[in-house]
Amino acid sequence: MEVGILLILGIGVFGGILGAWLFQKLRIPQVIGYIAIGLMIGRTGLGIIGEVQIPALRPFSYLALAFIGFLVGGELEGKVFKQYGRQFTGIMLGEGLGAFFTVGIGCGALLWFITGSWATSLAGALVFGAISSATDPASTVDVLWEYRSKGLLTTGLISVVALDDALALTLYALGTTVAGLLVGGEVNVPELVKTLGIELVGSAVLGMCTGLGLSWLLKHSRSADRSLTLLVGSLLLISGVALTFHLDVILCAMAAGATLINHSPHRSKPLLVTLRAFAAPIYVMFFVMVGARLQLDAQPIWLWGLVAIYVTGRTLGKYAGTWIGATLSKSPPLLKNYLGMGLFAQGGVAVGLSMMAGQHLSNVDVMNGLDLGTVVVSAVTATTLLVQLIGPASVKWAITKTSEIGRNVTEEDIIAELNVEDVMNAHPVNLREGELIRDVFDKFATHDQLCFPVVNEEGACMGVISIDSLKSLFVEQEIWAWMLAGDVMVPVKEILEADTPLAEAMETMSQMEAEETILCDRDSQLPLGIFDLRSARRAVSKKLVQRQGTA
Amino acid sequence: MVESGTQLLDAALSPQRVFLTKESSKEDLLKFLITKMGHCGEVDDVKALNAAIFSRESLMSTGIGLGIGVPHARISSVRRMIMAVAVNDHPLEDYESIDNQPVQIVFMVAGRPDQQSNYVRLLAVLSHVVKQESNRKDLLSATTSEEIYERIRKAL
Repeated sequence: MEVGILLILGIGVFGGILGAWLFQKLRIPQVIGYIAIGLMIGRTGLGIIGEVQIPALRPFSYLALAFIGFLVGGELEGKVFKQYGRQFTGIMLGEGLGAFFTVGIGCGALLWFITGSWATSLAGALVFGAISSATDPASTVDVLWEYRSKGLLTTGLISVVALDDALALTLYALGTTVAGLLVGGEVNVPELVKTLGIELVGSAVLGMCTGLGLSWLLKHSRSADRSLTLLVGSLLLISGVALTFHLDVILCAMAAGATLINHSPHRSKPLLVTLRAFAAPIYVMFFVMVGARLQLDAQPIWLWGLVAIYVTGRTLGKYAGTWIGATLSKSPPLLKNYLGMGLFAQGGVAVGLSMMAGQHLSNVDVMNGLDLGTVVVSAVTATTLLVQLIGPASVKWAITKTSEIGRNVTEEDIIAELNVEDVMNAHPVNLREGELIRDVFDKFATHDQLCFPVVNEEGACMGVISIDSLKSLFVEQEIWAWMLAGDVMVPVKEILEADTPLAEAMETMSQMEAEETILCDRDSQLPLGIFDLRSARRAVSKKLVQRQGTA
Repeated sequence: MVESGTQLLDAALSPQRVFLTKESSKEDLLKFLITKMGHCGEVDDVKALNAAIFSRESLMSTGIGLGIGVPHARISSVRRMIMAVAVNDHPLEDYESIDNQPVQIVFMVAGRPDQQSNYVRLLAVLSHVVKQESNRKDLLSATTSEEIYERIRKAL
């Protein structure tokens, strides 16, 4: 069994990467590729991940949620909230309640049409409405990270998806309470409110304590490896404690991330970058599992109508709710017009709530042999599949329209994208080998080049003269009249090719303690260009500024 | 490391590579010195040295004026920087100096491609020495190669 699980993890990660690669070729966010592979190998497809493996892999999904929650929390910097807190809260309430009402009304109407019972249809309406208000932070943020998005819309999206889980949990608790009362089930209202309070407050307190504890530990950690180990250990602990006390794993982790980033921003930022890289295969597996878990059995036709109403209502509700919330909170037009498009993804929270509803409402019959609980589970599963295909693509559309794609780049990212030929001087001024040193000095004075290729009559590169190699001639002016470029040139060390990656080139130059070098064609020996570190750094900085633009 | 003029000269020149010659042309004198340098054990490929010296002359004559010639080249077949000196019995009219004066004293220098700094320094030191008329007269009045060697060292 142990080998089986490991094999499944391997198949999942590799399959997910393959799916992501194929979808990226089609310019579709990678997360859809992961889910598609999950569908293929899961319950709906080949069944490699089936009824036995899914429960066995559940702890893994919780850990992934903790990682995602922590990283999302790490994006919630207090200074942003000080500036846009009112707007983000307004939008979150607008989009959450918007989806709640549109989905609730639509699904309730269809259920009334099917069952003829106003109590059952209202109960269903409340539960579907509450579930629809949650937005999946994982796939939304994955798209933002994949496309290195940065700007007001990106910040708004992260903040809203992080916060609306709490709203969804509250609406769900209220919805199931009222639904229970409506359909005559045994619902203890004070107990439910107490449970909800414990879940929300407990998650926040546990998360904040973990964040503060981590901040203290990191202060005393002397190496990056140790810090990462402490962080991963804390996330494992927090997940375990949250599950033991029936708290929300993702909210706990989010609170921990937000506390840490605001308490020790300098120590935690590099650590979050490391954690993101460390978590990459865990994410892949998590989304593959999301796809594998989805089960689309034969369902009555009207259930597909319910799915269509849910997806349409939720999409309209989220978009219109965002617009209304943004307008009332006087948000900038960018948030008002585009933020709603980034809130369609639905994931773990919705599926989790539907599972709970499956138990709560299993005694409410919709028709012969079909209870309301099963209807909720089946419909939410199907809608999750649909919106997980639409959601990430819409996020990409929104960040593309607002030109926030590619802005979250660092100098290292830019360097990783470039080759030597992208930053070298491809049209250098050459020196002839018979040129007098007097004239060589003139060329150094009149051209912005730190070194010059020395060429023969055929134009082939014979050597190179740099400022460094001229140093010895500064005080020997009596020989300037008869020494030639060919006398003082030094041989070209062919250390770089035009297609050498820039990062490798900079490392090589640094190891050789060289500031500049000439690139020559291997066959013709004609000079191809000059690569110098100063110009390369200047080009990288220029590109960085261009890419980051103004938020 | 850049060495002082005396250090460079001591390392590059030995009394065995100082000659009183009776050559009739620039080409003969250069070939004579190349051959002598080739015998000192520090040149692996005399043909390459010959080609490099004449290739440099084809770019521009190394007659630097005041009757002095400084043929020179850097090639990888030279093990270390070496020098040879010839004082000809008569000035050579065909040297094509920059001041159009015939050349009678020739310093031939051969170095490795990676010895750029010391090479430039040695050429500069030689240029500095022969600029002084008294030093040139001392060299021209010497009657033995040992005398020339000693006078060069003294002039530094």
